[in-house]
Amino acid sequence: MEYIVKRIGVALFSIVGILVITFILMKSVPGDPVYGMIGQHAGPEVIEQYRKKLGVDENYLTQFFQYVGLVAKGDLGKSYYTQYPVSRSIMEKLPNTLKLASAAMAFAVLLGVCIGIIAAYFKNSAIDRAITLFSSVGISIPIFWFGLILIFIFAYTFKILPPSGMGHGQLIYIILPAVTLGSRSLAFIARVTRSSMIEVLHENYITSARAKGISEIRVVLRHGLRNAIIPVITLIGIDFASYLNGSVLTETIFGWDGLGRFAMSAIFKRDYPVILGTVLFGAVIFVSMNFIIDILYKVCNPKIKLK
Amino acid sequence: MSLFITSQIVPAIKNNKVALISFWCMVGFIVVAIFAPFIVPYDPNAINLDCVKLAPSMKHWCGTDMLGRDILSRIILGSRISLLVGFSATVISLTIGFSLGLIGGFYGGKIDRIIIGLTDITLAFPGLLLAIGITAVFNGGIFTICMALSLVGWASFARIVRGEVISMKEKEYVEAGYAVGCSHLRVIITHVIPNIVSVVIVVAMMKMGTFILSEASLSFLGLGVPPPTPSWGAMINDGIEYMRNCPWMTVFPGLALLVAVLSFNLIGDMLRDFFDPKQSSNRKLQVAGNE
Amino acid sequence: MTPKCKKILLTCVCFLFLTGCGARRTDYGTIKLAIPENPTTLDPALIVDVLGGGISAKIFNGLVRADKDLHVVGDIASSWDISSDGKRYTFTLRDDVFFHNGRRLTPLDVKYSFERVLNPETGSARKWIFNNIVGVDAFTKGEKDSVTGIKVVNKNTLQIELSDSFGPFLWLLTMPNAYIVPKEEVHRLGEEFSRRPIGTGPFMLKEWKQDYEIVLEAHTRYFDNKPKMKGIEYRIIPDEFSSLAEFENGNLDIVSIPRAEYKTILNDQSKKENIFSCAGLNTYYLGFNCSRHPFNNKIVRQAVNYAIDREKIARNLLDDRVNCARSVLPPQLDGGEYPQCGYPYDPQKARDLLREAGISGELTITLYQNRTKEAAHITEVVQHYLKAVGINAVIIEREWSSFKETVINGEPDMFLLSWWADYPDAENFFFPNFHSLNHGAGGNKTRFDDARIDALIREAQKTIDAEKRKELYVQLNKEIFEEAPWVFLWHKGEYVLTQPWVKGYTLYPIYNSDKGTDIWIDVKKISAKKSYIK
Repeated sequence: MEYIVKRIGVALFSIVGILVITFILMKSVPGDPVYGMIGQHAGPEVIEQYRKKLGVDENYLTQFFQYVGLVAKGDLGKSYYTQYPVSRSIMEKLPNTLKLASAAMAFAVLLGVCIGIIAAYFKNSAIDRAITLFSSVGISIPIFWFGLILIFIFAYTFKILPPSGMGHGQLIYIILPAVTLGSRSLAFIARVTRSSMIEVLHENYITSARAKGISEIRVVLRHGLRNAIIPVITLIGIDFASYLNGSVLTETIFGWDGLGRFAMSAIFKRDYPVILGTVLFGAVIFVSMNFIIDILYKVCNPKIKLK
Repeated sequence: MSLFITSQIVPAIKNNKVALISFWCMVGFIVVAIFAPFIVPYDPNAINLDCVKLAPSMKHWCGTDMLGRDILSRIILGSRISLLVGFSATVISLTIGFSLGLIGGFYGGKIDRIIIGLTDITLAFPGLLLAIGITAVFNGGIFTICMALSLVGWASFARIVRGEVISMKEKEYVEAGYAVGCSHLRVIITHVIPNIVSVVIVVAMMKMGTFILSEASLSFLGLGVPPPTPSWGAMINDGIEYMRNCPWMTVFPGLALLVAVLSFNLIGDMLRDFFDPKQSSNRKLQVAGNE
Repeated sequence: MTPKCKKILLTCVCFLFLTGCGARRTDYGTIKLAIPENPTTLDPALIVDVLGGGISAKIFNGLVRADKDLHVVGDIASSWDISSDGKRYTFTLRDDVFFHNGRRLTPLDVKYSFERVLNPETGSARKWIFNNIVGVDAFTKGEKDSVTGIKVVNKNTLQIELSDSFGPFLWLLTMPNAYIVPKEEVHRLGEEFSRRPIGTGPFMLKEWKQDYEIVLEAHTRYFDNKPKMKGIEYRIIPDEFSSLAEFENGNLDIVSIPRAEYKTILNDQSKKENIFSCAGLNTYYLGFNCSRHPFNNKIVRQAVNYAIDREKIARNLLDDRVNCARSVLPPQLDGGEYPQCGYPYDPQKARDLLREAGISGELTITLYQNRTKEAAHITEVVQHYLKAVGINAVIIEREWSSFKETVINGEPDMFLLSWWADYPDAENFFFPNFHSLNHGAGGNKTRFDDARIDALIREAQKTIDAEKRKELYVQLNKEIFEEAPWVFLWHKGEYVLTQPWVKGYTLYPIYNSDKGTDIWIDVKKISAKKSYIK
């Protein structure tokens, strides 16, 4: 389909654009990452040797094309610090971020949709107004602060949940980070579900279903939800893709060993291959997800014209 | 148009309790930020090693931090950074995004394709990560942060504006304008822009809230303004270590942040409901605010 | 969703929650520790950090090592002899040392390991340890394929010939970079050796999941005190509050006390027996750029020393976790025998001195710091004190590698830094930091240059007689304090908390003296209580 080809083209251009921007960025950095690796006592010859090893003496254009060639082969270079292949680190940390993102998404969707339905059903009542206010709070709250408050309440004061870390993979460690990460999505999903449901509940087929004598719950859930859910799916797609970018803040606070924190520490240490690798990876995911969502949207709803 | 706004919006705000409170919070925030140096009870940067880590009391309403500085004073001064960055980034993004969206939507064709391509690429970029990258490279500072945020932020404006312009091109009054002999520019100024303003204002409000949060996130990660200028995000970061024993260091700056952003978002909500009660473009706007 | 679906979902969630809750530890055969980050390498030739050094101490051995009283004792070498001119060291090696792969160690392995560090291809940053050995230049330039100064005399004797006598030479051999590695494994693994080290130590590397944990297991053929535990597990937990929480849950045995919790924990009587502290072999300082205005003037430097109230900072900001510096050396090295030198807090004197130096009006200087929270707090307080005497300090922060580069290039007027000893000898504090040969990357970041002090340092290096050396260092200390190339701040201590069931633990002042063989867990003392610290 011509449309699909066009979208792939746009996606590819996006990725190249991102690569160029990140590369330019990284090369404008002051300071030399070499010193962070060789301790207090090193003499000048060792420093020079490390510089050669890291390839920072070539001209920029050559470096960039070399990079693109490597990426095409799946090689994202090695961390300047550990000499550990970046792609291997990404693959090792990706499952953790995926776990967190999925948990956050599940939390946001389940709770968000339920709340949205309730708000829509009891439109303009006290419950609805309270929910709307809470969703506004959810969007406005700084998630790093929210995470800290949760830690304070549940880990320090009541001591029922661990404050951070991944433990040995037990489920209890994922609760607070997932709630924190998902809070913003929860608020958005609740809102969108609510407005979508409100629209749908006024449609004719709902009235006729009610007239037929179908139970209220079935009307709302079966008939209403199915149609109202479509815009929510777009939201889920966009949100999930942004979670996959590591949710730098949440992972940093909770000491969660995922891509976000990995990119974060790399940026502080000026570990170029890691920075470029993770950003590229995140952007590819984001672009792909958007692409898939666009296609899905068209498939689910052919009357929507996608410009 | 302005008469229309004041005669309709003001009563709308007055009638809605939530909107009223948010409005006054927003005004309060702006006033505090502007007059900050005159309202502070103590010098926000005055270090006093003799009163470190004091709990909130009558003398220090929000307590003191680990260097003995009064937290309330720092919160008041910190509002300046939040407002400054939020406002500047919004204005810059709006200007860029509005212009590009207008040009692209209006002229169509190749220009439009380039602009939409640029918009897509920018939207595809992990926004916070890019801002982190830029501020890390150029070592923070207000100007850098505003630039970094605007670099990605303009895209939402562009997309919304372009969408509106395109749908507006087909409207009758535009065709009527041409029929009467107006030039392109006149059509734009007299017909297109006034109808887009409402949408843009709503997005601007949302973006303001988002930018304030982004600035706080960047300062939280240590990429914001250098010390000793207080910034809410940096204050929260400072307080993390001491959270178990001195929670006031993190709680109060966060509350300030929450209230400021919330007031902008609620006003934005109210304006959106006001301008477009049909809710059909709401989802687009809601999504735009999310980016 | 039908009511039935809802019930099923609820049950599933509860079940998951409960299984997650039962995170109780069952394995008390390994000691569990937390480390704040993933070590970059465990290859002795390449180690430059404290973390890597500490772990490698469990996996490798050197010719000699340090004991907890800061004496050099034999490790692989059972005894040694030093010639009267101090240039020839003859080591007798034990014959019961085995590598983890089963092979017996010979003096050839020692020669190989040292030459490997010197070999430019290895890329070690610690070549300087062996620089003093005869024949090193020829080897590194490639003219000869072995170092003539390292001689294998017979199957258990090794001789090292120095070109100049060097008092602390044995201390250099206790460093992790002088650990012995097996040639065949290095060749077989190549670069992987960094991540799969094989040595002779009391523990072998069982598994290393990057950024997650490092698991060591006991080496049954170890020649010295055999480990009492089955193994050691290092969990990588960057956030210190996470590690504290894990400790409280009983999942960690030993934890480093976070600075914010220091007072609370120290004041808790029930924990007194389980708190270990140790003054570190370090000195924290504010360095001046002595090569240009205004700090090329000794009086200005002294003025700044008077302007800063270190004691108050140590007490109120740092909760007394540090000892204010009375000399260049940390307390263990000066043994309390060096006469106290120091500048008391006297802002009026500071202002007087500044006037005397001809500084009228406000002086603006740049103060650089590394990007950590503690550094930020300290520099802000310093800025505050300097302002009170009329100096306007502009704080510039940089991340670590950028910071090091700017300091080495001489950009800052003042900077906050620390010096951690490579080995516990006064020489390691004086030579790298104050000798003019070491400007910049060599260690003398203040670009301090004084011919008289240079001569004193050199003389002390050559002296073998301990008493005479001490005299020279006492004099050096006094002169350097007088010249004030630094604001001598304090020495940082280390504070550790153990579980009540951990026995035999010692906190060593030198990170790599701890072989981990004395620790054991008294199973009877394990409490079933989940929360240990209220």
